[in-house]
Amino acid sequence: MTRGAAADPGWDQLSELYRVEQPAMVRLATLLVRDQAVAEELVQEAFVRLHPKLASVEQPGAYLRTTVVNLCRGHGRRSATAAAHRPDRPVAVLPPVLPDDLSPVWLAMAELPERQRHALVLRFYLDLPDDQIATLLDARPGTVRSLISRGLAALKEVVEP
Amino acid sequence: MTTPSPPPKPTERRVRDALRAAAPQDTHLEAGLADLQGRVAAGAAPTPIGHRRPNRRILAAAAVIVAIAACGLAIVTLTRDDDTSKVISTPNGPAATGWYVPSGLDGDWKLQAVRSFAGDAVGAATCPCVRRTWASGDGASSLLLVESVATQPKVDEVIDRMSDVEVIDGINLGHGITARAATGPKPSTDTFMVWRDDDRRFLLAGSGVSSRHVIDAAHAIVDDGEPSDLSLPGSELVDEVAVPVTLAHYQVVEVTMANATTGAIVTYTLTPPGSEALTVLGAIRKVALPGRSAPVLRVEEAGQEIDNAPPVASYLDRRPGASVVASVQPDDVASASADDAEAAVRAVLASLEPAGAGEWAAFVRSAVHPAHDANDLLVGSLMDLADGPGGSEPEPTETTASAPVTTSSSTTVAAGSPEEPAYPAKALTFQPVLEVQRCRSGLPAVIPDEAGEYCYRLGPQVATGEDLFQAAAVEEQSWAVSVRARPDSVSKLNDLFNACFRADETCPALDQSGRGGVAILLNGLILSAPQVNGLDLADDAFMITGAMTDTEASDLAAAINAG
Repeated sequence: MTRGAAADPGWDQLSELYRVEQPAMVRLATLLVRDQAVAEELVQEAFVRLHPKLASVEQPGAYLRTTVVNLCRGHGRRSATAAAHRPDRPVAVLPPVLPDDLSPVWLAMAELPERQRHALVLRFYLDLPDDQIATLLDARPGTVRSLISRGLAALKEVVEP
Repeated sequence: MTTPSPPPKPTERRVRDALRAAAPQDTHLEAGLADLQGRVAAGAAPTPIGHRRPNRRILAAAAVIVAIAACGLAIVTLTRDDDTSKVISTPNGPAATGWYVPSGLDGDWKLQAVRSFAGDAVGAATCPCVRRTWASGDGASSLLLVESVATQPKVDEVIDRMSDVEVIDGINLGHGITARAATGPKPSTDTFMVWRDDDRRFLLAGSGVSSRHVIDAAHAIVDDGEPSDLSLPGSELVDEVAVPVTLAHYQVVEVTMANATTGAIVTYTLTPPGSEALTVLGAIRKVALPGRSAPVLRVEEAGQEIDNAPPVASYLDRRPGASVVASVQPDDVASASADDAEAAVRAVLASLEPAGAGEWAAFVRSAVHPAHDANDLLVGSLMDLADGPGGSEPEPTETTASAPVTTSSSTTVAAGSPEEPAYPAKALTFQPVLEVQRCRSGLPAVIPDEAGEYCYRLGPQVATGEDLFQAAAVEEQSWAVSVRARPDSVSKLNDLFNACFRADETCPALDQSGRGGVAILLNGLILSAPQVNGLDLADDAFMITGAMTDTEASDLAAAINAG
């Protein structure tokens, strides 16, 4: 480290933004990637990427959110690639017990296809409209509506068994 | 019914609540800020991932990723070595020999012939793999995805083996991935695509949908790891099968049934589960058969429309121990109406019942024209045929070495001796449960339960049926086996049980009760995975539980006592 952080003119602005935005970004990313440690790392990466552009970006909050969602989507793809194969089903067994504090709705959401889950998080956690979700997910608004309605339809069974 | 009715408000509210609850409270802001300061101060340019000094949390996350990668590698390595000893999930159920014989068909039906031949090389060499099918309710359109490991280039050969197809090379799927596609064979407009993505190989086949649609689906798979946005009207996942092992040297057993009155000739084949992953392709839909609780798949195979004859439909029925594919003989279709021909196939398929070795032997002997090699098929199971004999047989393993050898035990049964226990005691194993989670695609090295709902990750085998004696079938809430540990084996079983009771690292707690679980596997399948509720359980008789019938419990007890 050849120069102190205090000498960096952007640092004050970045750290101020970090205090305001980091918790919300980590929460969003955790919901998107389902792992807080990974989410925190992705959010760090988003801030690192924002840093050199801080002076030129008009809405750093929106820029951050876009970066975080993009990193989370890329993460899903990478982990899917790393995944191996699921062996055949055996004959069965006593039902295992899952931790009580995990909501069945959240567990069911975790099984949805990634894009459906992401669309649901952006709609029902961030309350974004279709067109903004569409921009973030690189999809048409019609596709977003379809993702959300299919996601909800899949969850309906869990909510109203 | 094609458009789902809009879900009511409660669902949305529950989703909102669940998301709020799942979002973490503590986001480690101060630690993160310090970490960020270090990173931005290190230079104006952002440090590339992987070159910064990771803090402990990041190290922990990295360790998880490495562990997952290692699991994937293990599976690939196993495949290369043809070593099935560590593949603990063979698809053959304890009671499933894989043999099926018609039962209750009317007297006009006769067994005409039984013959066997070596399995198709493409189908044989592509696993471990997962095959999934989505289809619209009317069967007009379907998509089939076979995902295999990258070391199985034979997936790509599917296209090379097709004739009358138009091949397109170099389709860019993004992320540096290039696909190869084929449409046809004429007059069908089916589309097939193959590509490789890092450590996986894919085959995507679309039927009744445009090529454009198949390519879009391929994009979605490459982007998201699964086809999340297929937008087939009313489509659903109708079939999912995973085969954990490479099926080397497997045999196809073909049974031909003839109806003296109608002249219908129906053939059904029995093959090890999953061996059809790359051989049964085409337009697929789910149909119900009378008397069968599980639906079967009707497959209109690609390129079978020959000389104005109606298309030949096959039926794929996944049964314990075998995949059954039934169809009517093509030359028979020309003389009968397609509906009659299909009705005959359905009738035969619906009548199939599992057969033990003795029943199978009697069935084969009743053939009008027994094939010369039928004796080889008298007993044993399809999985025995899959593993050998002959060819480059894998090293004998605990499981396969004790499985009945086809020819020698055939004489036993033919001579009318009492049947040996259905499974050897050594095939019973005890392993700690490391993790249980909801199954989802892409979980590495796990064993799902029968419903495919929960997936288990297991530790190493600690004990087998040989460590047990004084077994007796007992009926509690369901049938179970009461056993004792042999004196020499008490300590190792107690070590396992106690580790689970204390929730040691080797057998961690599965829930808030703080108790770990022991998976009891029979022939590589999870019989049950009870949590351990006391210390030194092996000092006295203990129970092996699971979804067993009285016969299965008795057989297992007999096997343990004989071992």
